[in-house]
Amino acid sequence: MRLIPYILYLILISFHVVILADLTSIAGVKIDLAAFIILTVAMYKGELAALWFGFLAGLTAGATLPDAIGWYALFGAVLGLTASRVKDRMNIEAVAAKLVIVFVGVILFNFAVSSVIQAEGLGALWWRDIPAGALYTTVLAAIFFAIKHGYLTGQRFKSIF
Amino acid sequence: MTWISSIFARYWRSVHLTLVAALTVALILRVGEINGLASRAVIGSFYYPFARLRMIASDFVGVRDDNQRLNNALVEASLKLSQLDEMRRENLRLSEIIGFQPPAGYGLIPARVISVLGTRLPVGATINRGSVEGVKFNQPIINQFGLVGRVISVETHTAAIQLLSDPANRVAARLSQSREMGIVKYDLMRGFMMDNFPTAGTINEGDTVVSSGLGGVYPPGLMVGRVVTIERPADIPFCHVMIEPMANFNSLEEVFVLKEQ
Repeated sequence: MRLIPYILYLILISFHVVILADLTSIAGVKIDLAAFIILTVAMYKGELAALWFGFLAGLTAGATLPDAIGWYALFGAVLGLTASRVKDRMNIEAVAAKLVIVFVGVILFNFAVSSVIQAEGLGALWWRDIPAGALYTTVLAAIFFAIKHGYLTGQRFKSIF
Repeated sequence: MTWISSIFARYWRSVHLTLVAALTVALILRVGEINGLASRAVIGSFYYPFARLRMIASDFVGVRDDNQRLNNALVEASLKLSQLDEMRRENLRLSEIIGFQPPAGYGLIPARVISVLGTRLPVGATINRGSVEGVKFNQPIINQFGLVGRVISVETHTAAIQLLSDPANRVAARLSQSREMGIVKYDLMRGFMMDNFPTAGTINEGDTVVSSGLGGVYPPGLMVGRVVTIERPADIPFCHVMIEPMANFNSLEEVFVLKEQ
């Protein structure tokens, strides 16, 4: 398992947490880049890579909350492992199916994390912020998958004009 | 040792799962200092460079905002300083005219020049006093230096002045030393001059010219100007007497209307 790409993913997650999350938020709704990258690794890499990367990405995402860092790591590892197994068992290759996995995965990850660390305001978080954030993340995922699967290329983009 | 390798090879997936589970449980149960250690390691190695970058960016934004704020403050301060400077100059002018005494039998109506008419040299002006304040047609206008002109039209709160620098204006004048008389006027080609002064008259450069009171508009004794040059042409019986007016018509601000009592 080559480690450098995963370290770069962790750096990207840190960059997002510290700088990008605020810049890219729309009306307080943020992209959950950590969950998205865990799910992407789970869908394109092996089960063990997803497990370990989910664990480390959870640690990275929850580093500012030392008391809850274990829960972040647990839910990250579980998310990576589960997504990887779902993808393998159901043999998912279609972009739409991957988007459903991203949407559901991001929602479940955030529900789980918020139920552990959030003491109050869960209602608004669950019914407004988390679904909106998952939708925002899914839009980003759609662009990413469209580029990765060749639906969105430079040639096609240029042909529009 | 091969049996250990074979166990790892057979149960590699379980080993990884067990390791992750053990670490996670340790973190959740906060065994020892593991949470703080993990948190500090991630923050120190991954978060810190970006946090530093963000702080630098915020500092730059702060510097830009400060710069903008200071620029605005500088403009405001400059404006205030300019206003204060103008007030200081006005204060000096007003201090000079405090105690200014009108000729006997006349009272003063202080007025401010609110507009000036003329291109090369002002020939007329408007003051902020009118009939309500007692200003009347033909009343003389003076300032602390000397004669300025006369009122030629009066409105309710303003009045128009014909200045001495208007070529159509004439002042019956005399020399304060020799008491010889002439007519002071402004010639477009030659400037201020005293007309009709006989060649045989006694006149010297530097003599003071005052109003003679003979014209019926200006009372006698108002300072008009000072003799600058005297020419005595051989072919005519009058001198060319050039004078320098006492009042500066380019900087008129506060004036007085002379009101007969």
